[in-house]
Amino acid sequence: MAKSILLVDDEPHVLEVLKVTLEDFGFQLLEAEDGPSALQIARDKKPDLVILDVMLPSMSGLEVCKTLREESGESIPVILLTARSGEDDEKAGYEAGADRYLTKPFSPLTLQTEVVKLLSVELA
Amino acid sequence: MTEATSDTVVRNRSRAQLEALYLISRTLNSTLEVADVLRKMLDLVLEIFEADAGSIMLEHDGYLTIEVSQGLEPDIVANTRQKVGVGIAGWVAATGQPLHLDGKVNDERFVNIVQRDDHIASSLCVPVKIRQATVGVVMLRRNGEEAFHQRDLDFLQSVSDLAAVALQNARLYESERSQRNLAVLEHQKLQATLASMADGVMVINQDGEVLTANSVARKLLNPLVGSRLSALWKKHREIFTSDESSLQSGQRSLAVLTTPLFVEGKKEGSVLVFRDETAKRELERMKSEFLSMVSHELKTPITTISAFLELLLVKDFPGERRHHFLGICQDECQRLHSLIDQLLHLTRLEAGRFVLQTEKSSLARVIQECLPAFRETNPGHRYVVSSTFEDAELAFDPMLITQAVTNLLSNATKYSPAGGEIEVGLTVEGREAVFWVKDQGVGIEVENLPYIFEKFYRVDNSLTRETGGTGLGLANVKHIAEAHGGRAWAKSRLGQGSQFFVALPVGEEMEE
Repeated sequence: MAKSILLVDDEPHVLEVLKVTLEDFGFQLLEAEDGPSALQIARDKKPDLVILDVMLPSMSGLEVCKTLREESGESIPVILLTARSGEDDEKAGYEAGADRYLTKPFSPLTLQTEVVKLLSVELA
Repeated sequence: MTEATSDTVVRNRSRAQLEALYLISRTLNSTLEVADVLRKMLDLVLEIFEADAGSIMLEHDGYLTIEVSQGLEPDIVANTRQKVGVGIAGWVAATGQPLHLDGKVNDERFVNIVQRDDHIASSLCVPVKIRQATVGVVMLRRNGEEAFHQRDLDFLQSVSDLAAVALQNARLYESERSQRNLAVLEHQKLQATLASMADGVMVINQDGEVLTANSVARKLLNPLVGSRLSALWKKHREIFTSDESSLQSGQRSLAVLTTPLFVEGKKEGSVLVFRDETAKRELERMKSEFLSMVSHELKTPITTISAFLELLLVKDFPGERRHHFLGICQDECQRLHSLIDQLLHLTRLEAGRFVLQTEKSSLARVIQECLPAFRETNPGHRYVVSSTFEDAELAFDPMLITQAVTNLLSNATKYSPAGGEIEVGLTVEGREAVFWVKDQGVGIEVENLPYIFEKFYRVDNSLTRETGGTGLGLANVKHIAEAHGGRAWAKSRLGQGSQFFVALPVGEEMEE
């Protein structure tokens, strides 16, 4: 069965470029534009990876990440993908339980590498 | 006149003179003002010596001026400024010798400087001496037949010596009093300065006793130590040992400047200045939050553009998809462009460097021309023109007003995420044209209403990004209204939508 990745961003164009970035790897791509619906999809579909924006409407990506950790433990790797590039922001990201902290603007090739790495680590 | 009567006259005169001296001494010693001493002295000697005119001159910086006078012509009083050593008074002042001039001046010493006709006067002129130094001159003059006698001169000198003592007392008293007044004045000035300072000031000695503190210091420190300012010494020793520190007193952030207090070279305590930096820090916090917001807003379109460009470079997409991706990049470039415009507008409007490009035009038309773009991009909202939509012809900057209307419309759109009706109205009330934009959106809490036109202010400025705005839209609206001599305001209730108003002046007040 194909690995599934949940993409969470409130910017439709960013969601689209994420889909194009990951379209050639045979993943099943799930999408959400806000925190609560991201959590709902995570519960229902149990994705193998979450790529998560931080500045989201109504519930921040950090809160989503924490809730995810509380609900599913360490089983789902999370990549935070955010415009917040400060050291404090990165620290807060890892404290919330993220596995990777990538900043926007991002390189699709780098993201592909990170995704493959994270998913193979999970496979092993 | 016989010998006997002459003797009686002399005796009577001696007694009268003693009485006069006593009177002078008593009067003058009970007088503490220099001017009073001089006045009383002149009155007394004029009476005792039955003189027709007299004056007392005092020396300042080598010149004699008339301090008090009687019977002299006003212009002489006003203009006499006699150099010491010149003229009769000047000679007396310079030599310290009394002088009796009787009618004709024969004395060689004065022949060049005294030119009087024979009738004028019998004059007495004596120095006023304090500790051997001549400080002034008393002059008396008789106009009538009876001339002064030599003994009158001796007596006048005695009176003058007495008066000198009284004068010295009065001078000492005045100088002491003026110094005391000066000290009181200095103290009052210092107190007034301390009281009117915007900063808190507190002076504390080496033992932590508070020597003085102004009301601002008491107010600022109250949340921290209550009324016991000396508690600061025990609780916050660190502020006494460093030059610059900070304190948190309740909600206030205080900057503290500490300077040692030296009295005659010895450290006696510290002077502490407390400055309330709460507003400054809040502004700094808002600015940094604004910068991070702006940076996020700038990065979002750049993220999309750069990611698509990288993908387009490494992979051959079919023509149609490539075209679609490039279209997205173009949209995002447009978005960047308008964000930068918005920022520039705000900066210019704030700096007051903006020159209005006004033209007489229809406000209704400019407002209505803003609607189609919104109808096209937001099919979930209905943009309607109110039944109260009058037209107004006035001079305004169409580009700026278009921007204001656009900002209000996009604000209304953002804050009514569920869609609904957005109504635009225009009325002319008195000398103002008022246009408004009304939505059925989330509304604004009453306590937030006063701040919504402030730059950087967003009702929710946390990580949670409700609207994607820059916090600049309404600030721009306000600046645009004010640049036209108008104003902007809002009415709203939480959960019941908002209505934003802009009023522009109509007619002559409008700057062309």
